[in-house]
Amino acid sequence: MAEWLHVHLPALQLDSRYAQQQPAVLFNQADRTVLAATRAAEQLGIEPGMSLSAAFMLAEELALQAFHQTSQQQWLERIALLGYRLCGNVLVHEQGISLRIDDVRQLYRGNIKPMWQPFALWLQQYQLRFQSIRVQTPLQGLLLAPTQPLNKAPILSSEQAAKLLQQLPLTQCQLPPRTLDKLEHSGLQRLGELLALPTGSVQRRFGKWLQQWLQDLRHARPNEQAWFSPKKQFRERIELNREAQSAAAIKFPIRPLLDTLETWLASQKLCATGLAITLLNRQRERIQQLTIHASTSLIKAEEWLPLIDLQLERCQLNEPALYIEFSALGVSAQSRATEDLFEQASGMRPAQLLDLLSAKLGNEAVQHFTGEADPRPERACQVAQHGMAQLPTQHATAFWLVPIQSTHIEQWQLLHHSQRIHTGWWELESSKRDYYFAQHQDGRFGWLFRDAQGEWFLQGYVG
Amino acid sequence: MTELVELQCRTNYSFLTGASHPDELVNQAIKLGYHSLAITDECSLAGIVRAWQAVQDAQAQLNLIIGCQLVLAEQSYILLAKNFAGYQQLCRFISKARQLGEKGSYTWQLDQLSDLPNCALIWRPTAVSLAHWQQLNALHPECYLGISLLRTPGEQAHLQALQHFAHQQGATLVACNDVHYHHRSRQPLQDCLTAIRHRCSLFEARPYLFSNSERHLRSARTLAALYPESILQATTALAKSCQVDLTDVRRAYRYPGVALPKNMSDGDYLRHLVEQGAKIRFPEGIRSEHQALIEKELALISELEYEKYFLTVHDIVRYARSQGILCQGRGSAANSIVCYCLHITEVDPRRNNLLVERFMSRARKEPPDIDIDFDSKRREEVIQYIYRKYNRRHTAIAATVITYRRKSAIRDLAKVFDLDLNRLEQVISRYGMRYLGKDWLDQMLSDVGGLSQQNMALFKSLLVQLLGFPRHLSQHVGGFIISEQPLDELVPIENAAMPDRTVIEWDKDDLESIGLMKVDVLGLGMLGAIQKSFDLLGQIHGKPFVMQDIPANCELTWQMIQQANTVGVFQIESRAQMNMLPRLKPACFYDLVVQIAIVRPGPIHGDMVHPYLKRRQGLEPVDYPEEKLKPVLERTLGIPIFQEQLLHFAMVAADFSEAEANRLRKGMASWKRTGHMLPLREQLKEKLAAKGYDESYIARIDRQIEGFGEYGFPESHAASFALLAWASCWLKQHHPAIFTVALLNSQPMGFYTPYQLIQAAQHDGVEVRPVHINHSQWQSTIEADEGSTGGYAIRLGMQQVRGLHEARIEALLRQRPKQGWQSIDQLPAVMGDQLERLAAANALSGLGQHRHGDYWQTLAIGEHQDLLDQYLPSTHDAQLPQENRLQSLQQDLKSTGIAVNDHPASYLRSEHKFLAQLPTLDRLPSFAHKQAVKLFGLVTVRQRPGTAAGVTFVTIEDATGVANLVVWERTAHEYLAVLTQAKMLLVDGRVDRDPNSQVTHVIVERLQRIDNLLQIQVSSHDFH
Repeated sequence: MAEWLHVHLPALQLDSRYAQQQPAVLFNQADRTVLAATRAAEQLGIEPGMSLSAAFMLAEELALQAFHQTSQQQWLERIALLGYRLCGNVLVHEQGISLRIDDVRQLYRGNIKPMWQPFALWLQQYQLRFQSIRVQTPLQGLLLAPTQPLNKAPILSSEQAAKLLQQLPLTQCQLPPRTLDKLEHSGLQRLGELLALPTGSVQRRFGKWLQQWLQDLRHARPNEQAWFSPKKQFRERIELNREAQSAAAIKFPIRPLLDTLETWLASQKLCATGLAITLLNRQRERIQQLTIHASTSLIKAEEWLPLIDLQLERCQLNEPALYIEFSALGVSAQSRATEDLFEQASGMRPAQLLDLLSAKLGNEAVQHFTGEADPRPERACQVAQHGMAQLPTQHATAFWLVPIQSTHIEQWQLLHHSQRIHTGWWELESSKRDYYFAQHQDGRFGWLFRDAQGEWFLQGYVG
Repeated sequence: MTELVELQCRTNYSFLTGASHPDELVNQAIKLGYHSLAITDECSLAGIVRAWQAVQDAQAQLNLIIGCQLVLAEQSYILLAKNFAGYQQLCRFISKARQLGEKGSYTWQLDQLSDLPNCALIWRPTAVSLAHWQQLNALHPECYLGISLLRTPGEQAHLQALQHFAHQQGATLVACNDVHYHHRSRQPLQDCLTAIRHRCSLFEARPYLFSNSERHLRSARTLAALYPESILQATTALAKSCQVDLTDVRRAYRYPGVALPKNMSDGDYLRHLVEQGAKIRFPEGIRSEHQALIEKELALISELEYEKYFLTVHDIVRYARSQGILCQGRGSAANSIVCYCLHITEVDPRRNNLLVERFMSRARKEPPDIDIDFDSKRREEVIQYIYRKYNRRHTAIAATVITYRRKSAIRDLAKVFDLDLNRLEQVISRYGMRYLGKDWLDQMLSDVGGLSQQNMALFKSLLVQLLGFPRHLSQHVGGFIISEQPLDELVPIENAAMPDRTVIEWDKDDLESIGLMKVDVLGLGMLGAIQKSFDLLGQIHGKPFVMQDIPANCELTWQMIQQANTVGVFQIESRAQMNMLPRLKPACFYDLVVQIAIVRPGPIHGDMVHPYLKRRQGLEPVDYPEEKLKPVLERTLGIPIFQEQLLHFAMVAADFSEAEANRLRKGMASWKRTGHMLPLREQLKEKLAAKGYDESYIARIDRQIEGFGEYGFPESHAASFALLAWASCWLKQHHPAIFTVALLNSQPMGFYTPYQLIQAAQHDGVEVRPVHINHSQWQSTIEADEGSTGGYAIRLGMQQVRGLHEARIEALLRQRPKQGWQSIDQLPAVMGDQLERLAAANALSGLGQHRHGDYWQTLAIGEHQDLLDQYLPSTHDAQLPQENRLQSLQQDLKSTGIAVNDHPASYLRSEHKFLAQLPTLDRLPSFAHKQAVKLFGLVTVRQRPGTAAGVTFVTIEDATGVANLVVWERTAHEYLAVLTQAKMLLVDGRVDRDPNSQVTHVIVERLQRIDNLLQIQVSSHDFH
């Protein structure tokens, strides 16, 4: 008889971001309903299925996490990867994973504890709530795991679980609403009652699919399982709880990524010689990129950490970061010798090359043009150090701009009015300027402006 | 000689672009000494009436030029009407462009310019093109070149190029300043509107923002410094040549006539119809004072030339009556003796002391106001009749201007300031549950976070400016404009969101200002229910039953009203109205008029309710602030209750002119929308203070004005509503089964769910029978039953079963044998899952073994299975459990929302000992005032009226009756989750009884949710 260990993670995206003591909810962006709540939120009366506005009424300070399918998938894959190290057959579901353990159980002489413990420790380390159960089919696990106590090792044998299945209310069987309605209207309340009905009678009323579903409940279909396998490249993106104002603040969130990298490398007997860490702002624009290189190939998180610490100490954030992209560089089989620096550089993207140059020459030595959509010339056309946000230049100007400096109007002869700029009301002081072309006593043609206080400034030279 | 003029100016009716109201632009232009101002919204005249009204109000000599601006292939044009013919051409042009485009946009082609010979055309080129200029001149007889000097780079070179081109081509160059706001201080708001229009934050919108604030109305000195004198002179000359007065629209407008008998004028025919009607209305002969009233009203109608209007309204009502569509007119003009004789209203002037002065006003020079309510399900028939009779090109619906309200303005500005929108929604929800203090906005913005102190101040100032700004045009609920000439010659018409509907660009206030007549064709569900009751009574008695058959007085009905047994009736059915009924104890028609008007924000905010009740109960003497106010306030015991009384009060007590009082009325209507304080309100307060009125009385009057702003209720409307309230109460008292059936068949309507209506009928002793395949029709019906109150029982119709399709069920019913079906096997196959749904609702009871078995059997009948499945084992192969009481209750509620023979509370009482020991709700009156009580029941209503400071009202019910719970704010916060979520409540509290009315409440001390004892699906009426 096959045996599976099913782990259900009811609030993965929420638990990975918020502590249970903080009132927070995971919600569906489409209909703005609560999908999961932290313990603190549950204590305030917030429960899954409730509308967000009802939840807001119950909690003065409620943190929100919108459900993102990609993020859910990434987390599940990380957990599946962990499972993959323990046993080769892993299935990934929408809210959990199933591990086929009857083969590996023999390795542990029927005791699954040695296999379970590192897995549970990892989940606890990231404060992820879970429910687990040993079952005979993955579908049994999907239905029964949510009925199990939180954060406990599986206590029932798969035979006991099969009995439990008989008593499971149909409302907890994740059946389509219309099917559930029909079963309820027929007076059926528990799964056991449905299982006891003659096969043909069920098929006639509900079609083949329900019959197949009941089959899947009894026996897994091994050939049709979509087994999990680790991805070919390691590239992850995470969203931070709050915007990181300093580079030091990203150190902690990077740790789980390193752990996952370690698991990924180890599961495939690979190693890496470098890491690329990209920091993105709220608009998902790149604001900083760190490249960490090791002289030898590395696997373990502990080995990467000091290198990253050193880089972060030198790094200054120009604006707050909300996302981290993380990828492994120079990945190769563990036995292969490490490639040298030049070989790596040859395959580099320009941004990586700039990072290397910047690291070598210093940030101040590498500059680029940038600008803002702002009529003020000094903002429309700027030169910035490498690493700062790079925006397309919107208002190119034909003048040679100088840092704005106060000037003596007596030294200039005004030629004609050029334009008026009145903007920036959203800043501490708005800018109101009247621009003129003028000729200096020394013959140079300049571009001046007078501000609202009547003071004169030189903005640039013509020609 | 140059004069200060502006030829290009957008108002905020160029939605999310212009940043000033039309009146702000006009007033600023007057202040700066402008001689002419062109209002040129983008392909629209939506803001023109407000600008024109502002000129009238200021009594200024400003030449208001009517025009619009257009964009085509990145070229910008301005059209200015030179005379009334030009105005009409412009209206037709805009109508065509708007109707060809998607809603909110427009489509046009250059060759259409030839349809506008009486308009001036200004082309504002970005770069001159000889070919294009020649093309324009070929199409249009009067073309100009326009230039905007807005202190932007390169414009001097552009000016020179245009001057050169104009000189070469002999063209005239005029100044157009692309005005977007009246004063440069509106630049921040205009930038925000730009961001809103582009659906982005201010930061992201920066490429679209103007680089300076020059697009305002500038002074003569500034313009003289910018433009060459020759250009300004040409601009002045063009402005002077544009002379259109909007009063010409009123002059040109002709109300459509109806077909007249030979040798009769409109006046003759109206008199003839009134005299005919009077014979029916006064069969005993008309008394002299009523005849005199008729003469007075007819004379006024004739003097103001409104005969055609009354004839048209009569024509619409006559059509509705001929089709059996019940209708009722309301409004000051509707409740007149002429309208009573024309059957426009049923409000008998003998029962109501409406004064002729309130009928129509000579001084106001405004069109009469008649709203007609029709059965909402048949209103479309009347609308189609109007379209047929008066022609689509001559008929359109008035617009409603959708403006920024508090929440929408906060939300849009939050996007502009890039605030966390999820957080904002969270905070808004929380504030929705609380009462707003003075500094609510500061608190809210600090809770949302993300704004510096400076930006918070900016946000607040922008919010104040944005409130009341128009966002888009929508369709009025039913205000029809009908005209003898095609309407697009008078006002632009555009597509409504609804297919085949067109709306004019002006709203009801604009129409009133210009003097166009509007008939409101509105829908009212209760009229349908009353008509259905009449139809059933007609069938029973074998002759038609009409409104006049309902007696004017009936002691039993008054008793029912005084006891607040009014679930399902019109207007006086809400929780607040039901609380007031035992206090006010209505005993005559006018009491009902007062009852309807008094439970409204106006009188409640004005603290007028308790003084009125005290006076009515004789606990306080009836007196008047001044003796001369006696005629104004006498009928409401010295307390102002109706909107008209307040206006009349302003005229008598504060010497307001009729025009000022009228402005006060309009101001009240727009106060909530615009959030702007009314200067007239201040004026009223000052005048009252000067006359020695005490401060607290003035404050109450002021609060009442504010309250009327939220929901003003004129006496004439209350009188019409009172008539329907009386009719529905009489039906409920004497024919409860018929009335309930009519209500069930008119759903959705009213305040209560079908389940609550049925509960109320059962409390009145009416037998209610469940849906059954052999007895029910599609709609609910009555069945003779001497044991039931009124002699009839209710048979629920199949439409109560969720998910049934009328056509499929009607097809099934046509096949029903006379003696009914005897077994499920006999039932014909019906498309879809209809039989299953009937089985789930237990409507096949008696045809099979039990509900579950019936359902299982019908599942095998359906046609949705695989073809081969029919050869699989068939129907009687599974042993299914018989339903228990809880399942029966659950499935009834799930399938129909109605449990005819059981109540969730009764079930719980039978299952749980601790609940069985608690008193049923009908025993509540036996408890003493302040006695502790523990109750439980199903939640039916939750309300937090804005007029009740911090109180939540909850109604619970069991099979014996209801209990009204009062939850003070502190308790509400303690039990917030239970209070907002629970379906079944266990309540600890104290009885609170009013000694005069004996109205009993329970003041809640503790709440407990006991839903888990019972998994049911019942909806309550929450926070409406």
